[in-house]
Amino acid sequence: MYKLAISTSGEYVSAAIFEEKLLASFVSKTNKGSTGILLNQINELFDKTKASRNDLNALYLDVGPGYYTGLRIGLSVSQGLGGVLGIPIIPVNGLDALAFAAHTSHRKICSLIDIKRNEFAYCEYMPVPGGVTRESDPQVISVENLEIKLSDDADKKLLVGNWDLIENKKILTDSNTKLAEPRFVTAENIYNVGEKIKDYPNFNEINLEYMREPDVTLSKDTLSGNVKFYD
Amino acid sequence: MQSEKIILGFETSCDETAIALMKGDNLLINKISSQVEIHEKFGGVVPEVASRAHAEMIRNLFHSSINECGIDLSEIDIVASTDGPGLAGSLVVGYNFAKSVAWALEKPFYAVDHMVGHLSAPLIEHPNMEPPFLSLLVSGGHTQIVLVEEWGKYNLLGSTIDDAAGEAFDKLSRFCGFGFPGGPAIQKISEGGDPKKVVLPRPKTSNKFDYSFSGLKTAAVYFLRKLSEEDQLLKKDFAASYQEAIVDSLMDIFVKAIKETGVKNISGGGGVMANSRLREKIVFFSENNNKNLYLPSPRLSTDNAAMICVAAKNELITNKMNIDDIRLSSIIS
Ligand SMILES: [Zn+2]
Repeated sequence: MYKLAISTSGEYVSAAIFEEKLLASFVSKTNKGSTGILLNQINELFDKTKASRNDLNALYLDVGPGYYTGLRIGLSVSQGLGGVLGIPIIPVNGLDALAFAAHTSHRKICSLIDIKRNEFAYCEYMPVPGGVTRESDPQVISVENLEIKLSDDADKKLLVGNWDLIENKKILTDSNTKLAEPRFVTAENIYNVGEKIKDYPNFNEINLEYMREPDVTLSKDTLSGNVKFYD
Repeated sequence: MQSEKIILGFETSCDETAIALMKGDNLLINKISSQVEIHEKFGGVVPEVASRAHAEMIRNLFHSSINECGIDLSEIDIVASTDGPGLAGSLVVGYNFAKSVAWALEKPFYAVDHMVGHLSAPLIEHPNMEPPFLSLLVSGGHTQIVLVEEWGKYNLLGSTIDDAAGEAFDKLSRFCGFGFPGGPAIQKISEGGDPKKVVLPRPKTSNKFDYSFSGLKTAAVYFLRKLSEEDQLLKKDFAASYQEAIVDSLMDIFVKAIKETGVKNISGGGGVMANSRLREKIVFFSENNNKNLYLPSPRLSTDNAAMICVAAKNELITNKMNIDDIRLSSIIS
């Protein structure tokens, strides 16, 4: 039986197929309009491994945080596949996946994902044998506040994720901070965490980690008047 | 392609999550999950809110559609979905969901242009409709006069140079606090109102088949701002007058195009085509001018997935495509 993992939360789209261990994977950098890439990758993985669709028994999905459109592509594809094949979708938080990938470190792990508009999703972890534990709740933080937070923090720490998007390189190179891989979430990172999750929601209860309320400013001219009608 | 094939269609280009199943000429199911209540408080469709809602709704809509029409997934022969035009964030949800359903079923996938969907919608109720025909496509996102010379040969004669007709309804409705969407709200309020009470312009443009609605909206707002308590203007009279101005503008130019092209068959589509005053006028015109009118019913005029199914089927038939050919070419782009 095969398992499929996918991640579309950032600049990279990736899919990987497993049968106990990794069989094959793809990672591609996307520009705008990445919509066809994911299914192409999945199709190629099945071609390459000669796996049959009906032998797929679980999907591991990166539910964010990250770029909204990418996340929705990942969700739509997994729900289309999961719905037809009747298999569970195991949602995995991308911040957790990044931290888990660095769990052999002995430092505090700071996980960082770009969510555009000069903001990051951020979460801190401590390594424990075989994994990591969250030290804080995931939060949205502006680049400026992140820079302050990191430079005020005297702990020895490891930075994983989109740290290359921080322009103030002085923070990144101070003596307490080490920059580490992974720099972005891959399907493999997602699988490695997802595999440990035993309690997952029903397919229709999977929610994306948007972390922000939707922007509701209407783009077109918003008229509003105070009209006095006779009735 | 044999006529009894089962087509599963998806449409998520704006604020309706829609799924339909068609077997031959029969519509097995046509489900629309509207987001009107969600967007109501903003007075318009908010793109990010719409995409989030599509992503949450589509899975349940898919399962309930399949369950309700009692078919087995394996009976589906082809999957079709709108691939544009529309709100990018909304389109990706239906398109990717549809394509992955096709992939999982190992069935061909067929992408349909949203406007071709509207042009083909009358075929659901009038399978005998044939080109050439002239269609008036009017909604919150589009206002177009399209000459369908033959299936696949679409000649855009005119479109709006500013707001779409539906936007003209929405914007004024927001200004007056009539509700969202503006078209149905204004139609309801205008019941029993006098359409001649307020004189509003019927804007013209330099291209004879193009529309313009922003001047009308501005004129109406200007009129309302000057209004005093003593004027005793009834809401229903104003709504009826505004609706009449939009409907007249739509009809004037459409009729001009009908006369100039000399077509015998006329048609329409889009959310504004569900407006009862517009339908009344278009029916009146066709009856008095000896034209064949192929109007989709209101439910099939607004965005829906049945039109995607019928458009896919129609394109496959006209292009003499075999579904095995599509399987090779477009199951994965
Ligand atoms: Zn439409």
